[in-house]
Amino acid sequence: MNNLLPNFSHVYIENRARSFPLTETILNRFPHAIRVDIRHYKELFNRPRQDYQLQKRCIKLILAVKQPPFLYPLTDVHQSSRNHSQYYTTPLLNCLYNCEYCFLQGLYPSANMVAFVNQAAFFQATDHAINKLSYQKEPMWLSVAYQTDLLAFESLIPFSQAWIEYATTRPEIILEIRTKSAFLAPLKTVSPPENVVLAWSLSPQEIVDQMEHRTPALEKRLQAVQTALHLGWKVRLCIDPIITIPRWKTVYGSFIDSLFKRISGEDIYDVVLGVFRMNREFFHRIRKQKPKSPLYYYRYTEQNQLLTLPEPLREEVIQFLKERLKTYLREGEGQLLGC
Amino acid sequence: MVVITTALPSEARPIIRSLSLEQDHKGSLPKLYGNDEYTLLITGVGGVSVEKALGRFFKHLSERKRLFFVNVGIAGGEQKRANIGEMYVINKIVEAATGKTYLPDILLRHSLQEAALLTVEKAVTHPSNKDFHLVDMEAASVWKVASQFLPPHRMLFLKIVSDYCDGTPISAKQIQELVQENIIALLTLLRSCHQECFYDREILAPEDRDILTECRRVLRLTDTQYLRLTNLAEGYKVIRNKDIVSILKPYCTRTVTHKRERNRFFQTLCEQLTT
Repeated sequence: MNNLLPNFSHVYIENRARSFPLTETILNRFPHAIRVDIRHYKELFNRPRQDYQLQKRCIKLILAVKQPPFLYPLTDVHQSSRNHSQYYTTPLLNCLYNCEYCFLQGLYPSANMVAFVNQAAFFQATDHAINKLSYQKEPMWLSVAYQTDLLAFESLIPFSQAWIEYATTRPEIILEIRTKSAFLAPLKTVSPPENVVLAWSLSPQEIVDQMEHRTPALEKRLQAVQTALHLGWKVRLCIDPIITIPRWKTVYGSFIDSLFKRISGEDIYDVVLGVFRMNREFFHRIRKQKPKSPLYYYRYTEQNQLLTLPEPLREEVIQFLKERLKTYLREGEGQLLGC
Repeated sequence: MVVITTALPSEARPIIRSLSLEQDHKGSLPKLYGNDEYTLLITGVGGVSVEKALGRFFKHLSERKRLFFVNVGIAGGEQKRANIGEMYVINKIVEAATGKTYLPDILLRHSLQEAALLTVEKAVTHPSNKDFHLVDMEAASVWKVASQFLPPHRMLFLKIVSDYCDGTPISAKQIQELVQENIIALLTLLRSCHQECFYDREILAPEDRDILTECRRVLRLTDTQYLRLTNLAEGYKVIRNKDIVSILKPYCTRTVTHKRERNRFFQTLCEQLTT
């Protein structure tokens, strides 16, 4: 018996968020949702003892006003670029999808989604950060979908479109939009800016079926990648995290082969590789909730507060994929990132 | 187990009748009724009574993991937005005295209207705060006590509008009728509270827990060793989807006389569960 409310049955609105135009736009997208006024989003989001996986089955939306900081430095875990200045920002907290390996389950106490409606403040903060860049010759790398999937949420809140428009005015940044979505409508109406990279997370269909719940099938994502390339967008492919399921070499080997039958390595901006890894604290927080995913019961080694595959295996996985990818990518151009 | 609390006997009577609850004469709480699936506690009116009654109730409760808490009662309504006789699901509780806000997780599918509730210390006529649809005297206290033991998705607050806070007296008979008129919707919601998804996920079955406890006793495991063993047993079940009883059972017949012996058995057991 599943007698739960559907997603977005409720929209919680911070009092100070009421006056922002984006609030009205969003509320119009959810005409049937019950509206509840709150003082601060943390009243709801940070309550103790929430059940993340239960909330994933009926996600609520919270409209809030973000307070500084707006930009956070990216860590090595993210592996986004070789640039010296790498940041991420959080216009939206949490994600529509429910991937078993996702660190958000351990990062946030709630699966409800928080949309920050003070967009102008985000752009102002980015302007400010650009002006203060220590490496002026190099663009600043800015990931806008590090703790969410903006594009997957685009039909409900057009965050990606706003950020793409902003990027066209600021050549000093490279904007990365990481996604698993196959929703491309907002990208078809704008001409692709030079400084926007669309980064698709791709996994073999076996992994999609087992662990990437509610995400589009690999085939749909590949079609989206092809369309984006055809429209002239810069596309990064993220094979991250690589999950060492039984027969992983065969699974990932044929996945890469089939990937590059459809997409030319020449057209790709770059490829990011990464094995499963997670902040130790997040991992244990998830483990405490007794997840059904085997990922949380394997043995890992700890490196700098990160739990990851034991060294010989980690190296073997990365080397195997690097070797396989080499045949498809431009030689000597550093198209491969990550470890 | 679904625990229902009401402030008044007249609020409780239709529920007791419909669920065929029997009075519990054995316990230390005089106004406790129950059967295998439901427990009903009459707390008395006002925050102080609620905190006292619930405090005692939780103190004597051994099993809290599979508990869903439902507070049912009458409330005053804001005339323009609330209808007398209508039952509401409460999505926000504000304690008038402190200004603190409590937000239950509204996850259950229902067909009722929802409302924000103001909990006041004394009965009020014409409350000045117009942000609230409903006014009662207990919900905030129920939340404060119950939330110490339960997560927000296992608490449900249902209020039936009895008056417009205009000082009109309401008899016990009228209250009983108001609850009775909503009894079908109420019982439907109470039944939904039994959904498995609301309760803590358990990987180990009761028989797994039993054998682990027995192993701990026979092998004289330390707390840390027992915890490690439990974690490994959970991993074994998730990864292999096989039972752990057959692995642990042989160890329950061993005799341990030395620490070294215990540690050796423990080590072998761990290896078996991780291989």
